[in-house]
Amino acid sequence: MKYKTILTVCGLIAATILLSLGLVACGGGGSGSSGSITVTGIVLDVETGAPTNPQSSVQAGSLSTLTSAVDGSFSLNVPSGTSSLSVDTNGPDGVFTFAIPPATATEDVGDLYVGPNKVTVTGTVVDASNNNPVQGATIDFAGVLGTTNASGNFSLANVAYPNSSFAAFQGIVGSVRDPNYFAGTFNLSNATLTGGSIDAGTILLTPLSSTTPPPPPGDLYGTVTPAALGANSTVTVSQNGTPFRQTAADNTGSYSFWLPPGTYSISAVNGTHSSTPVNVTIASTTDIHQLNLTIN
Amino acid sequence: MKYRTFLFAAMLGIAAVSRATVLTLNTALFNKGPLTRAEVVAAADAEVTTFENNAYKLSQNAIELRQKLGLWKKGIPFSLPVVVRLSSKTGGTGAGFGTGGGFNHYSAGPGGFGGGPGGGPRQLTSGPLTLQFDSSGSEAFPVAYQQLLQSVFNQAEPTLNLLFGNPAVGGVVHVANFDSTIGDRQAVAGGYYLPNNGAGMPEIRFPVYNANETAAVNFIHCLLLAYLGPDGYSSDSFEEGLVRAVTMKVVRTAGAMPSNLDPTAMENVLEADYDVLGFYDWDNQRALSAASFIAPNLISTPLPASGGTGLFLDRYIMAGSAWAKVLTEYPTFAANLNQQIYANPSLGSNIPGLVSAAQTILNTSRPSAPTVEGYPFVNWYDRQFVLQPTSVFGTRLFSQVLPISPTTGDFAVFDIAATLFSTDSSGNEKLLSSVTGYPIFWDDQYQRFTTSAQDAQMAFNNGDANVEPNLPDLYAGQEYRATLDVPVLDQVARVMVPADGAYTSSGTGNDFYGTTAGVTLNTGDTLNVTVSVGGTQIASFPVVNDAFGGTIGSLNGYDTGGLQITVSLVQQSGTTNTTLLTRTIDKPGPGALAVNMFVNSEQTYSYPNGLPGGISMVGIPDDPYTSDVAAILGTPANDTLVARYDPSTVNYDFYPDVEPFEAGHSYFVNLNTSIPNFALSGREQSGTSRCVALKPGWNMVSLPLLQSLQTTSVRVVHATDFPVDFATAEGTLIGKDFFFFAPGANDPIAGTPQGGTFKPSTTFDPGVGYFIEDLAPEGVTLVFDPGNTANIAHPLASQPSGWEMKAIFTTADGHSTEDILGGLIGATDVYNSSFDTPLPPVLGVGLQAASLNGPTRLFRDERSYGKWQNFTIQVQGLPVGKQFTLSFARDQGIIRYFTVTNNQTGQIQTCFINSQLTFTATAATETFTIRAIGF
Repeated sequence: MKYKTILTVCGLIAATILLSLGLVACGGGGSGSSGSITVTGIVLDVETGAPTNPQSSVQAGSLSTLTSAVDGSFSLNVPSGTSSLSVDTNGPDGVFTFAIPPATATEDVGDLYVGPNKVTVTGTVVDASNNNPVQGATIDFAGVLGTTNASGNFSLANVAYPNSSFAAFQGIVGSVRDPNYFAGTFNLSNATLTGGSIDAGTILLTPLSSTTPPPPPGDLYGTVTPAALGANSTVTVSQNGTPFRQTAADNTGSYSFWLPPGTYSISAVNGTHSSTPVNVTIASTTDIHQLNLTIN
Repeated sequence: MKYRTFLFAAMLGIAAVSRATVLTLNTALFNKGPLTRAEVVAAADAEVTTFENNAYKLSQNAIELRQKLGLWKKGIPFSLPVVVRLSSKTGGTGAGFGTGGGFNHYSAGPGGFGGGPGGGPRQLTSGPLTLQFDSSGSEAFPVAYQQLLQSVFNQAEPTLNLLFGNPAVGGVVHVANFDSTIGDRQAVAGGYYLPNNGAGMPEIRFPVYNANETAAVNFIHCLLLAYLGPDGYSSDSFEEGLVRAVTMKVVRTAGAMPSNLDPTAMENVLEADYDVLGFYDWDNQRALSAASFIAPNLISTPLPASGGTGLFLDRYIMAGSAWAKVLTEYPTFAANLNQQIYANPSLGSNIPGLVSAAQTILNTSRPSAPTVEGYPFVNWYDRQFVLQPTSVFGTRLFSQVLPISPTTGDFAVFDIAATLFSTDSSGNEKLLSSVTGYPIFWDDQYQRFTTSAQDAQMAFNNGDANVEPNLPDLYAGQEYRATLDVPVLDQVARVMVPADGAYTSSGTGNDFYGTTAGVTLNTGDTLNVTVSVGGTQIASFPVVNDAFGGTIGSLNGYDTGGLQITVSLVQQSGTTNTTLLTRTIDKPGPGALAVNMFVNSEQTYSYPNGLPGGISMVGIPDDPYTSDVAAILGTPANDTLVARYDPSTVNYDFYPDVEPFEAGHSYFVNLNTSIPNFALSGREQSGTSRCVALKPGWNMVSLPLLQSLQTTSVRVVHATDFPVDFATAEGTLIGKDFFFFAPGANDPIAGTPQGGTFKPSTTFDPGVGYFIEDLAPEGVTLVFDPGNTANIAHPLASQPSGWEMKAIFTTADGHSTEDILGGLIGATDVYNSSFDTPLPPVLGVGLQAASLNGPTRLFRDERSYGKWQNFTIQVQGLPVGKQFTLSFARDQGIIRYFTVTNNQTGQIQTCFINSQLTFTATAATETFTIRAIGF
């Protein structure tokens, strides 16, 4: 990791030189102070992970500012509702455009990466509990935003990509956000560039948890219906005709058992009403069965 | 090793045919009159043995002759007698049956059946191996490379025989060039061996390495595998471990390798791929346990482009290094153990039998002290995670710490290379990606320090991530112990390393260093570490800030290794010296040695009430030696009901897919009957703070210490932040409350609880399982600070002002449930997650009380401060017709009086905080209204 230290030192040296030349905080075009919302962020070179050299110009409409030579940071007052920034590297890397959340209050857009190449980053976001695709999740990688479609897929175009030094790019941590899930992260440190595109693979999101702990484990569970008879009914598991376990269904008719492997018969009773016994075989300690019962 | 299983099955299939053939060989035997079955079988065995040996000699002669005449070409069958092998022993019949004319006496040609391990005594002759190379074709090596391999064998053979014993089965071994097809991992591991290549040949499959020294070392490894022939060990931990240990010993034996090879280069190969050197203590971690060192799904999977190798090589290295310790004390141990499995091949898959056989060897070799590193073999074996052939399922994390040679200005630079993977029930491993960990560096007082931004996080991809922190100079050049915790998902890998003066002296690395734990010194006391070889003390180093280090050099051969050293931790109080700990450590190889000197590091925790029958939630306070959950519980594997909740999948993992018992985690267990005197033996880092990592969502955790802690002794670390007090984290980083499981009433049929409720806790007790919720997407780490850890800062959390009381319902059979009711400044009359706590659901039969606040059932119901509040309490699970009580307790503030309304009868009673009301349940569910105000 010592190369990073070296880079930092180089950056500091460059900053010192720029300061001595009076090149820092010259400002770009426009006033830079006529908006009502402050947008902050940091512009970094994907080739080095350091601030761009020369400094970049960050623009929103006619407003612009130069990034800091020391750390790449910028602060720009923009009109409310501004939804994109363009970053001119003032060098061969050209101009990068970043969509940002429409600015309604002070907004930190994070790290915006620029570099010599532009690639497309793809991936798929799924629910960790069932592997179903997550639609509408917000993706952020290297400052480029995107949204997953109905298949959970996303595609981020014009992501900065290095020419020769990949350490900084591989260190970028992308984020995935959805209001129903804990935020997820991903990186592309081992992904391969193919035809101008890099696939992040499948990204798992953990559903937000219940406000209470989950119920204890069970390998045979279900619901006793109808609700009026299932609620608080007595559910009995038998083995070879002999009662083995017995529990009370809850107010919704739900029941659960944690049984060792074996073949069982299960039935429910509520007063004079009962269900037809149903056979079930639990083949192993990891074999889970859902079995709903109907009381007649 | 599945091919062996297959061959064995094939043998069983033809045994009857073979026996019928054999019994016609000696009709004279039957003229004696009626024979017992045993006599018949014994006679058959004798005949078969003679037949077999003759066939073998004939095979050898034929092969040699054909080779001399230049007639041998692989794949061209030539006629030889069918080889038959019988055994009279119960438990296995081994037979080889070659229909295709395979030349090896023990296995068969194409389409035939191969021999394998039988259960009976070995009746084959052994002899030297002969290497056979293809001269052309895809499996031929370049001529010079072939000559190199042959010369390595020629030169090393006497040493191989001495250290590993003669080959189990002599004869020709085909050496094939598999450079283009061998899996990356198999190539890194040094090639592999098959007793039967499918064409009736034992075969070494070997790549072409760039350096001759690399090829030579790895070829020794393959030759030793070939020595084992078909009678190897069933687990990689034994087979590869022993082979690699002997490989190291052979390569380091003067004159054992061809003289044209560079010894330094060969040593470099050993140090890269075979020997963990002096860092065994640091790498001895549970994640290494595996039935197969290369997971089945990864054998042909290319290594990632990032260059990370994953865990498999660490397993090989650690297994070899573990057995190298044994060889340091018992140089011919492997030869002796091999002879036992040659005599009884079924022993190779019988781990308890192997452990017993190993002890027998120790007893014979050194009757005066038949131990390894001071332990009887079984105890030593239990302490080496990598030697346990039990696959560890679930998500695992391995953290390898390697010191980087210091340069001037460095105080201690370490490479922390972590591997994150999950193992499924088939043994397949998935190297995890898109996971970020935030390493935590602690000083000797367990205050977090940081190094540089680039060491702040570890982004895992294809299972690998690493950082290289340069530990700071905290004590102006003095030693200190640094604890490097890597929490990722719900795993924590910890290594304690010496920093600063302990690790380096004036920019030059020391060659002996380590850390201490569990020592409490009185003012004026000093602590020293002494190092002895053969009873002679060769060095002594002071322990400062729980770390020590220095340079020993070549004294008594320390630098070259191959010796046993004794390290003692000595406390000096005035003129009194007390030895707190003595460790006997084998140092097989050269280089520095890192030593953990942890006092009271092995503990047995006895669960106060044992483990109850039925369902319970069990916490694990120490790190068990074994990874076998069923063995710990003493239950049959197919009847072991153990589960742990995984918040990322929102499901339980059930045994055997669940992770092994791990300190700091808890598990649901359902036992048919109670275990009254349940105790758990394992590792304990006495006197040190312990970390437990949480995933987003609900986590099953436990106190990873042996003494109870209040939450004031628990801190919470989020990402790169500094630790905060537990109370400060509640409601922001973690849930407002955490819960333990209270088993309910007995199942009327099973006679044990099969359900229960969750109850909130205010303390962490050893052996108890808790559900705690992580609210932070990045996860958090709980830090448990034992009472004797000095100077742990606990900033006082601001506790909301107001009043709080408990309403406690207790049934006649002793079950109880409670609610917390209160009025706090800042709280609201409606549910607010910053103040209120919902009540977990009840499972099956269980007593539970909830304060009804709109649609939410609350355990903790905090309302607006300064006005009367009406709390409606619903109690479920009451025993109908039986009495129960309602009592109260003050938590904070002043509560002068309040009223309780029995909503079933309408009766209103005025109560005080010490009141106790008695009711008779008219229904399983009843409600009460408590009207209260406090200050």
